[in-house]
Amino acid sequence: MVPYLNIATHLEGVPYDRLLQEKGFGGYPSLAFMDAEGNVIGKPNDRTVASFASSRDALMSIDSVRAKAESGDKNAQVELLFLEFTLGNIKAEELTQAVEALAVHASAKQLARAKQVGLDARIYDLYVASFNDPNSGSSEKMIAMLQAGELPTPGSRSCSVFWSSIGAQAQKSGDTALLRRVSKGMRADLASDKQSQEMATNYERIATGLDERDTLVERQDSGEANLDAKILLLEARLDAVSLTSFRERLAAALVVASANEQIELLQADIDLEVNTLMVSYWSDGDKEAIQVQLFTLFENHEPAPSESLLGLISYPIYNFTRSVTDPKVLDDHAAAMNKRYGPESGINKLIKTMTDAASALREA
Amino acid sequence: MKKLLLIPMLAAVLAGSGFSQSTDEQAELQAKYDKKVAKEFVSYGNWMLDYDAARAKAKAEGKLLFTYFSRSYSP
Repeated sequence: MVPYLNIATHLEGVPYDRLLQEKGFGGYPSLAFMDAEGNVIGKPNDRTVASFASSRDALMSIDSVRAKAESGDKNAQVELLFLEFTLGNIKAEELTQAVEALAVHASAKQLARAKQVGLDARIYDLYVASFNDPNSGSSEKMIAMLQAGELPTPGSRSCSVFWSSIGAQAQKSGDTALLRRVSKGMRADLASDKQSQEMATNYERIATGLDERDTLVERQDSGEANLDAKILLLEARLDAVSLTSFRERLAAALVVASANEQIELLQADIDLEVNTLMVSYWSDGDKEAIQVQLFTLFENHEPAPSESLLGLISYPIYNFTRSVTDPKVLDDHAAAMNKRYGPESGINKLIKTMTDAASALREA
Repeated sequence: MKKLLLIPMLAAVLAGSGFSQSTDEQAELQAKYDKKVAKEFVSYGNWMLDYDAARAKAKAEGKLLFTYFSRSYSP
């Protein structure tokens, strides 16, 4: 094979800068097997080493399997379907239906593989659905799959989204047993993925923190007073409390909090509000209204939202910038943000985007 | 999980924005490209960077292309 690296640059006049889009791919990075004319003849289903290796093996064997299939070998017809799927030429649903139709000619191993392909596809569809509809219940459905012993193929993209979706739900609900199960699953099934291993470590840390929280709650239930602030802060630090629950308990916690705890609680309150707004922004929230709310919070709220959150609001600010026609509005926001966070903050590039856009509007 | 998607989403929007690029931006993009091709994996894997030349080589040697699509304008 000839290894060819296509790098999209956005430089003017660079040939084949949009080859990825022309070949029908959706995002970077992507891998493809192409013939010498540039026709895509196979693409790994997942962006994983295992998937690449499977695709390479499928390419090596597909011609001989196809010849057998065309000569009437029914089992080869089944195997050909798997190879076509591995090369991205048919979808999971087509594979499972076709294998079902040829079930009498398929081996037990082939039937199990088809079932697993269908399961992986269902898991990934649930993950996609959770982005389109935050109330899709996808995480709960994945938890039900886990409880039923329906597990994705280790190392696959479905495996990655399966464990991370369940982990996020476990964190949200404060379920320490589930957090530890997710961590164990990530350690075993995604061992070569650095990001998953870091997530597994984080879930273990959260589970340990929630154990501490449970100990505090037990002490409180036994009659020990003034623990509300410590419990609430612990949950906030672990990102294991919703804004609604936090605010319901905030007043009582502030009453018993030390001065330092009060400062931390108020910071957690505004940071949680920003995070909650951003979740709404990326789901079904009113984007224009949220953009205005974010500016209000970041420019005026005391205490100011943490600087670490500036990266989160990059897109809303950029989107806002594109919609404004009055350059003064942009300059005012840029000045306010700059005054509060400073030119060395993570937002300096976006401040420049706002001032550049204001200049462009004035010139126009 | 959603937080992790913000950076690529922003990059995608910036990429499709149609904002006219200044000379400075072109220079910045060129520097990013140069940095990308200087990475060890490029020479280690003997990656060809010229699409026409890669296809010609594949044709002459009766081989397939293994294509890796990446980008330099964004992380």
